Amino acid sequence: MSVNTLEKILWEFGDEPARVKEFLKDPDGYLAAFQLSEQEFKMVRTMDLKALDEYGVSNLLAMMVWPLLNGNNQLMAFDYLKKMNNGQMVNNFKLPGWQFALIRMALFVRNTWVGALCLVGLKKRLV
Amino acid sequence: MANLVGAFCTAHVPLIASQPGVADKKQVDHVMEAFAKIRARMTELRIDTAIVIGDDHYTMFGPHCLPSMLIGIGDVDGPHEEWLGHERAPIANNPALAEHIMEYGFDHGFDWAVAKALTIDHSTFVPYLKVIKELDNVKMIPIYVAAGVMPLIKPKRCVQLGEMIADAVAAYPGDERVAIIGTGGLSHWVGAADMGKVNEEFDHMLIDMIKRRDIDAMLALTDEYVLETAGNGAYEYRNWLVAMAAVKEYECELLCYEPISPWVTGTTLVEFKFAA
Repeated sequence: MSVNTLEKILWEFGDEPARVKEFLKDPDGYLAAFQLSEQEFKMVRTMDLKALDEYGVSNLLAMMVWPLLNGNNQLMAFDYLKKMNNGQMVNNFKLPGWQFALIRMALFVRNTWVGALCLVGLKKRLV
Repeated sequence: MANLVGAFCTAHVPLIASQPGVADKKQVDHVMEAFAKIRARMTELRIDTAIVIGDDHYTMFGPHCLPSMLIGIGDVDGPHEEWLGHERAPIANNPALAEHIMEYGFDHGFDWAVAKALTIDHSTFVPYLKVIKELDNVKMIPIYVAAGVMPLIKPKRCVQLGEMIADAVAAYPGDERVAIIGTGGLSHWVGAADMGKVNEEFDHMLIDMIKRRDIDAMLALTDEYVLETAGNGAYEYRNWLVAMAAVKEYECELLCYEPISPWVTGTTLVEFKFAA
């Protein structure tokens, strides 16, 4: 029960991608193998990036794992940053306004689509 | 006797290898020109072996084993990260010199970790790609210090490591002409909420210390201050300290500084020209 265990879980996702599939298929079952407090279980079960950050889990690991769990495309960097900023889209990369607006829209469409898939049971929702 | 005749520090931003074009073209060109200058100097100095100082990003090493410092003495290949978009391939090491440095370290109080086979991450791969790979017959000895993943190596230890590496090279009976290359960014927030932010004021302060070889001033920086002011990525000044400490007296030539938000880092390349 510690940051170390959480980092082990995340690191193993990157080290062995099969574990990601296993986790996505049955998150509760997968996490049962680790010694986690209730708080730790919840933050990794829901992949609460902000909570993991505040708990002291390495940002390097969280950033590596996010696309593994959610799809490895360029939008995920913005999705990650949005989650890290309490749901606010931030233009830290100093993109031109039109490009940033386009990304914001693409992310909205993507997340709505994923939400719909979860709603009809075609995808398992982590959060 | 082998000779340490060249010393450089370079950025190792992964986007240099994967997607350089996401940044402003003028800034990218400036960085690439600086890499070209290093290549030209390496050729001019007839370098045959480069010792490259990097740090893992929780890619190569996991929670089960986090070396404070490590030397690659045998087979080297890379990059570790598929997303860099470069096929993993062998990289020529200089095993005899690497083993000598390893042993010299053991004899002088450096019980470092040793990799007999190492797949390098972007921290040493990017300088390999942009400098070493484009030169003929230059071998690379990778050395890693814990500047990315907690617990971090103490900066003072990096200084001692740099001094020891210089002594080890000087004590080697071969006729190698060696360069040391420190790598890493200046201010950058890797995976943090501020990722993309660059603190130019901090970067210029650090560059000034580097130019003056003010190691004491760099050792006085606390981790708390660096994290707050320049982000978790700025801990990588430790890699630079190793290279700085390996050269007792130098004149620093700033080859470029670009604050590149799309690359999420203050990007700098320098040469430490040896005092005559």
